[in-house]
Amino acid sequence: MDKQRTCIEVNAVSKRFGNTVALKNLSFKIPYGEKFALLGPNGAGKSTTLKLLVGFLNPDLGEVTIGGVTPSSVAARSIMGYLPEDASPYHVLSVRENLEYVGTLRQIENVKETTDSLLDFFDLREYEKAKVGKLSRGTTQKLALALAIIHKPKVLLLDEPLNYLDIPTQEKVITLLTSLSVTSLVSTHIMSVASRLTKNVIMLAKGAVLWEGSIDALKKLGAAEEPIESIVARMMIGAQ
Amino acid sequence: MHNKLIKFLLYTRFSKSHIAVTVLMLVGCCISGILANSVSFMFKPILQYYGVGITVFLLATAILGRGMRVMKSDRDYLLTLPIEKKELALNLYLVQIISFIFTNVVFFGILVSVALAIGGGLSYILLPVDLVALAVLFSSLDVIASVLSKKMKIVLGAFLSLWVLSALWGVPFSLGSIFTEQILYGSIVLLISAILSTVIALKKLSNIEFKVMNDLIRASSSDMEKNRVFNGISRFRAIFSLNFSAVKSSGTFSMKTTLMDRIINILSRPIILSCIFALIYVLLLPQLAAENVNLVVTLHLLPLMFFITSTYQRGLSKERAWLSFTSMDPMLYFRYVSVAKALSWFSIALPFAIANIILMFLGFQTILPIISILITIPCLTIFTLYWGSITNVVQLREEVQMIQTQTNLKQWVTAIPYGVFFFVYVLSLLLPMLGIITAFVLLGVTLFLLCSRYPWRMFVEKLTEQGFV
Repeated sequence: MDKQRTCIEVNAVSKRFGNTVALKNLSFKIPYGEKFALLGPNGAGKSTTLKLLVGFLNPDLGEVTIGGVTPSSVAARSIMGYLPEDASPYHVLSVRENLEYVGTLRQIENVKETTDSLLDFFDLREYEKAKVGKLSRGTTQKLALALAIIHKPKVLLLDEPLNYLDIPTQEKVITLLTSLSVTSLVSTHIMSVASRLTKNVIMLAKGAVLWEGSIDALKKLGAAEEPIESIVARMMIGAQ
Repeated sequence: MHNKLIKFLLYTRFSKSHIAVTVLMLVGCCISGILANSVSFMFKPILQYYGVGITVFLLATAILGRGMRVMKSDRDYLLTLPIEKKELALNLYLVQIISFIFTNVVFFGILVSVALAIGGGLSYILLPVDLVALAVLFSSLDVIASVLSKKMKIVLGAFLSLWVLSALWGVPFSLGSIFTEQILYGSIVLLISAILSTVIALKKLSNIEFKVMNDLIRASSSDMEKNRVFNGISRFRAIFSLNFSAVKSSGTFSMKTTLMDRIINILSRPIILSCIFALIYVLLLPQLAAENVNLVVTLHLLPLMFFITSTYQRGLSKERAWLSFTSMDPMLYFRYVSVAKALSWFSIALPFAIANIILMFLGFQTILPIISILITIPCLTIFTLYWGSITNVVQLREEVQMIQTQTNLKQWVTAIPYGVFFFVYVLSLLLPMLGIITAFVLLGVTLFLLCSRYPWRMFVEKLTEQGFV
């Protein structure tokens, strides 16, 4: 990969929480405009990786950059959109207030118009005055997705973005995310989600990269007609 | 009685650290009471005022509270167990009484120490019994009030508060008389009230509805009458609007509101309540403790400072770091939030500062309380947030609250700054200049913290490691 075209770079990163090693010499690069899935068993370090990329955590060793700058910089924050797993927007605010509040914090132009268009796109209009604490989990997830893209980010970091969504909304979100010309990294456990949203995979195990490549290449690792989930499961079990 | 059930409830609701700290507190009070024999006489009239005031506060908490403490994990697991609802309710009720006994030790331990120091035979025996009876009364009122309407809760709370306060005017048959010379009459009244309220509470238990603690807030304010508009304002104003709670409180935005609801909503705003209490304070204080005004005010501020320290975690649990930290520089965000919260407390405390200024013009020595309110309280709000970050105590996430008795040793550590400042403040009663210097040192430290990048950067990382983000 051309270094100049690298958007997300994780270089020899290690991270430890007390005695637990979360990441061990982790390295990967994602070029501009590419969409990658982050796969791995529970405890592989997927969420820690995303938190390092968002700038919530600092690596103990190594370096993380987004667009060539450190993730905690204002420049990186302004181009990043982040959706954590089980995202929970402000419970004390209504749906509209959440969108306007975050839009204002991000200093986007036309907060009201952007809010209205997102309310319509995610079918949230009927809930706009409802407090988040009263919403169903699926509706909350729609709002969280809307909040992650409200500022039209160039880099999207998503943790299980399709969780809790009904099938029509899943299809809508898949169409949206694949149509956006952004660099994205999607953490997921579900192979079908990975293959719908991305073309490339970074597989983690025990805090390090187990395998990296395209989904087509991943399929070729298995026997003919072998489901891709079976191939991934075999690789993950082998790494443990 | 289901032995395993009550053991399970006790185990899940009381941390060993909390029990240890409470026992230590009680032992400390007893030792200080024995050592401070002569000084206690000076404190006695002040502590009468304190005892009555705290009783009103805890009564209001019980009546306006959220009924039986049921956590989300209880709803998901405990309430699905094949156990009779009445039996479950009874066990939860018993555990709640124990919880209130712990609360009473924290708030009233100092009174036990005085009873020991003075060695008044009757109070020596009755006060510990009274504190248990108070715990039973609070728990029963909690259950009884949970099925009452908001209006009835306010009427009941106002009636009981006035009844408790009447002890300060020498009424013997008052709940507050347990803290005065009329302790025998007070104890009789309290025991009868506790028994009667328990009988009523036990009847209500079979029909009680278990609600997760937060459901009440959400249910009362699920739809907003009017959305706040963040569109077209600056970031600071948006953050300030969300975090400045002096003029707003949870549950005040219900769609279906009558005129009475609106009046109650206005009266329940912290700043309005503060004005009312400040007015009562300025009218009552000269009559109650003219010679010990500083001590009265100090003891009056004690629960307020404790409240700031102990509730900051709940304030943080409402934060959504994944949104705010990615939207702007976390350091700047927390700086704005801290200032908004400090100003919020400042506004709530301001009526008391004005009340003390009035008292100063009337000839009372209230300079320390004025400085304390204007400087110490807002600074302590910010300092506590910072202290919480370096001691890494944040455990709360989203809206799932903890019960007070589940606090662990680390969370108790958050009370250290409060304890240090309170200690220095009490010392400054002897050396007023020390109080003034302490307040300005705190102001300097707070301003330094606000201007530094490192503490807040570390704060973000600690919150993330704790799973808050």
